[in-house]
Amino acid sequence: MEGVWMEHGFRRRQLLGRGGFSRVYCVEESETGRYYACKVSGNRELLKREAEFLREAVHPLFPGFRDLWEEDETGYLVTDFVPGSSLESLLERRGRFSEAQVARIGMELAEGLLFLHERGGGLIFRDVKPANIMIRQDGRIKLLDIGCACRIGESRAGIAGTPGYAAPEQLEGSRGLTVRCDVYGLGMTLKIIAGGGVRGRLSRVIAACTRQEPSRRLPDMRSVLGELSGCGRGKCRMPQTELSRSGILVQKNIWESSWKTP
Amino acid sequence: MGYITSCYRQQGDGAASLLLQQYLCGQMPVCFACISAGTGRDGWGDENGCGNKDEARDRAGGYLTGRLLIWFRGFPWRSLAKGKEKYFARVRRELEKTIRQSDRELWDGAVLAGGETVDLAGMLCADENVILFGRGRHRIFLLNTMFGKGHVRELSGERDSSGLWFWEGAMESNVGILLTSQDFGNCLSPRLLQQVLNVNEAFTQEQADKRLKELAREGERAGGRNMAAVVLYRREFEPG
Repeated sequence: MEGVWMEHGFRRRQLLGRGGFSRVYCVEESETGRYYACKVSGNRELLKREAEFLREAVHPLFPGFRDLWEEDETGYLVTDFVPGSSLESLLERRGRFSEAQVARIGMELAEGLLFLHERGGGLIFRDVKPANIMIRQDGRIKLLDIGCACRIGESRAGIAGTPGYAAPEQLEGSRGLTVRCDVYGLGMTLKIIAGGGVRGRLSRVIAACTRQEPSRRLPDMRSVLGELSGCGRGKCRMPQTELSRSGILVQKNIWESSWKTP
Repeated sequence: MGYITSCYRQQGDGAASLLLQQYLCGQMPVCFACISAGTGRDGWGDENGCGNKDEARDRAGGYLTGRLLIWFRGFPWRSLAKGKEKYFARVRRELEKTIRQSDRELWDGAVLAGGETVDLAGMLCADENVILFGRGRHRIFLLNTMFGKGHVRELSGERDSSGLWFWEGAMESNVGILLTSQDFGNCLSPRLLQQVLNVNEAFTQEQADKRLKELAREGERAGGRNMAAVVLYRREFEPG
């Protein structure tokens, strides 16, 4: 098996993890010495799909696509290696995150997911959860494992996601999924990492993201971003339109980015 | 004392991204505005591995203004309003850090090729203090009405190796500041600029909006693309 790696210019290092259908290794590019992550799977169609989505998701939140090849009915997908810890392991080690940290993580995720929904080919991620979120040592976040994604409105997307984080309509196999699936996943993730003690505005935002009925959830990541930007700083809340107890009046709040809806 | 602001953004492929936030923190007005688009170099496109030039510009400009928005909303403006001067020194440092961090994230995420940067023009005003910043081909104009006559000048500062510059100063009353994208700035004659930026005692929000719209019409007639502008007037009154 080592020959396969060497033929494509890589040296296998250690095993990083195992999934239901795949293993992920850390590999070293022989020419440059740089490290990458390589997913190996017998399900070549899934890997091809994941590669296609990664090529569209060109945004700092997602690891970059590097290479894809098949050998002896096994697929190999090489992407950027993300050193750091997953949100899941950090949660186990240190316990829950503060409100400010939760809001920051939420905004970074919402920003990247907004890109995916509106520009990255119109994709729904479908598997937002702490285990798929890596925090680098510099504090930046990466969202891994885009393999579960599907196109917005795709009628034959199948059932995908993780129970506990996936929206109810996702696990029921409903047709025509919308971006509200990711709103749900993001909300559940924030709920888990915030622990049981979250109160006030953040708890209301999380509740608005995790309603069972999709039409009653926040409609998209723009709304999530707007709501989260008012959380997390007890002394400096930023309400959208009204005079807050902190004495800050928002007179104008305009942000027209170049994201376009499909 | 307060600000009257207005903004304009032309829609279409490769449109600039525009950010305008205006707060009143107790008695202190704060305004933060930024226009971002383009990559600062002509002829940049597929060979840099980021696909279509317009698309890369879209992503980069939107990402940068989004990052700046998150920073602005997290800054302790209330502490600054309480007269804690040390916070204002932080403003410039954090602003620069956020811009550079965004550049690195865009290179890391392969949205821009390494070393490429997004054009931007911005201002941050808190009371009479102002920080202007820019990079690339966007332009910033200041109208000063001291000594009775309006005098327009284009502002810039000392650029570092990436082309980023900052300018810090204090605003007198009835000063106008105009941020423009490259095309918009190129369409403006000095006479037109002076008309837009000149304010009188009775100046209102409606007049500000109207003047900027007129300017935009001139720009569109002249064939400008990806045009965006933000104008701010400092006024000696409590804005309604």
